[in-house]
Amino acid sequence: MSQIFHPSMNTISRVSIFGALFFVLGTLGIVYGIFGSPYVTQVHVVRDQPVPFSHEHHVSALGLDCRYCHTSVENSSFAGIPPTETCMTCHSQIWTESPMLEPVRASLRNNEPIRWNRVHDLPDYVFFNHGIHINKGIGCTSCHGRVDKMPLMWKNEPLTMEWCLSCHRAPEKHIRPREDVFVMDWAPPAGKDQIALGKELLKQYDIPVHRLTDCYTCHR
Amino acid sequence: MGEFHTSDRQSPPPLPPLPKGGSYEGPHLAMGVAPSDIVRNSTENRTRRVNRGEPRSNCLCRPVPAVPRSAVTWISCLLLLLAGCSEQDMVTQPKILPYQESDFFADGRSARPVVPGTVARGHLRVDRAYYEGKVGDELIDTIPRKVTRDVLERGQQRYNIYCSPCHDRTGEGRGMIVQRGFPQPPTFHQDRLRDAPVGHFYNVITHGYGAMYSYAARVDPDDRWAIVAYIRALQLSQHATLDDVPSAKRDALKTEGSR
Repeated sequence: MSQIFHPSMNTISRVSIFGALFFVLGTLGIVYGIFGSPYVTQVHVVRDQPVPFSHEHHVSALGLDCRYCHTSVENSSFAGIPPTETCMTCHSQIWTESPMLEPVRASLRNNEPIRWNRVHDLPDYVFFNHGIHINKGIGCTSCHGRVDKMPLMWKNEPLTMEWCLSCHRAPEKHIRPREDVFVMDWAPPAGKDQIALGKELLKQYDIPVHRLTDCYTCHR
Repeated sequence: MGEFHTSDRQSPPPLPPLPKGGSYEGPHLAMGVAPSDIVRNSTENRTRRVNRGEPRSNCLCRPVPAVPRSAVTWISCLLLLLAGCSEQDMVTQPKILPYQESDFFADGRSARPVVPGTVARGHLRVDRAYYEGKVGDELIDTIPRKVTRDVLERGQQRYNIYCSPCHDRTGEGRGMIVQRGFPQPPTFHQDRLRDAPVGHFYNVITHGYGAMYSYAARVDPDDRWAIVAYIRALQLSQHATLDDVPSAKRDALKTEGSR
């Protein structure tokens, strides 16, 4: 009676078992990698917009404050996308012939909103409020990056739950004085350590750090 | 796990009983043995198994049911989980978020234009002096809210955000947007505007003036009055004499000025 299995089957079976393990882990690794990559998170990927609006120009070169256009950011959950009137406040007088601005003029003419493409879109099961972040000393750049250096808008952070929690667990790493929230190039004052300053501000602004990681803080 | 070298086997153990109910039926997962072979000749099968030796549990070709019951359970569970995995439904819920597009209305807007004459709760504006800067048709000349240092600082902040792009931070009217071609607004530091009643500034912010658009949507009435107060402070700052400085501080001013 001949043997069914050749002795080499031992090696093959071992390789298969370990191979399967590596295959599974590898697949998981690849999936994790893909979901963390800009392909999925869209981090640093410029979104097409009907008008190639440059934050860099309007903020860095002209010195406009964030709130000139995003008027509701301080006291609303929503920062506010400026209505066409805000664009036309200046562009009714300057760059009035620019073909790039034609969609803006058309919007005013036809009383139709400009359809901007959303850059930062949280899942609908996340409750996010801009106002509370602004009023508790989280700077624009902490989440949006150096918008004043973005000729076209992109997302600077992945906005994953892991990322949100990294700050909700240790807000002292990011908090700054309220009056400096809109400063683009803010850094802790000379001789002051961010962590030390952060802990001071957490106390001063009465921030319940132990509650920041409760589920209902963001999921309601 | 032990290896099994069939050639080393000296004495084959007694033949194990066949599993009950002819469990060799059905598809077979073991390597190298086609199910049909097993079913066809069970005697040969027994022999084979003996030759492969013990322990049986290590035997790679041990006949197993095609899909064990536990696996069925697991797979069903996974499928059930997947069924709950229509994640997009949760990410994009059938609710309206600010400015979201909607196919419910013909114009695609979820945010509806307000019916003319609508008064939102808490926005009934009957105080004409406060909300229009007028009494009758006359512009008022007293700021209808208490002006404190906080109000002035708020006014300064709002002025710098909304007004300074054109009027610049001192009120001369040479802001950055003007430098880029916007018609230059008049300076605040002229008699006409120094003498203008505060209601005038409030009305200009509310309704716009000349090339200037209305800022009513961007600056609420409280802030408009704060800005008006700050404009008055700016005017004073550029049109003051030494006599306006409290006598106690005059010397300090002189030394600072000569520095």
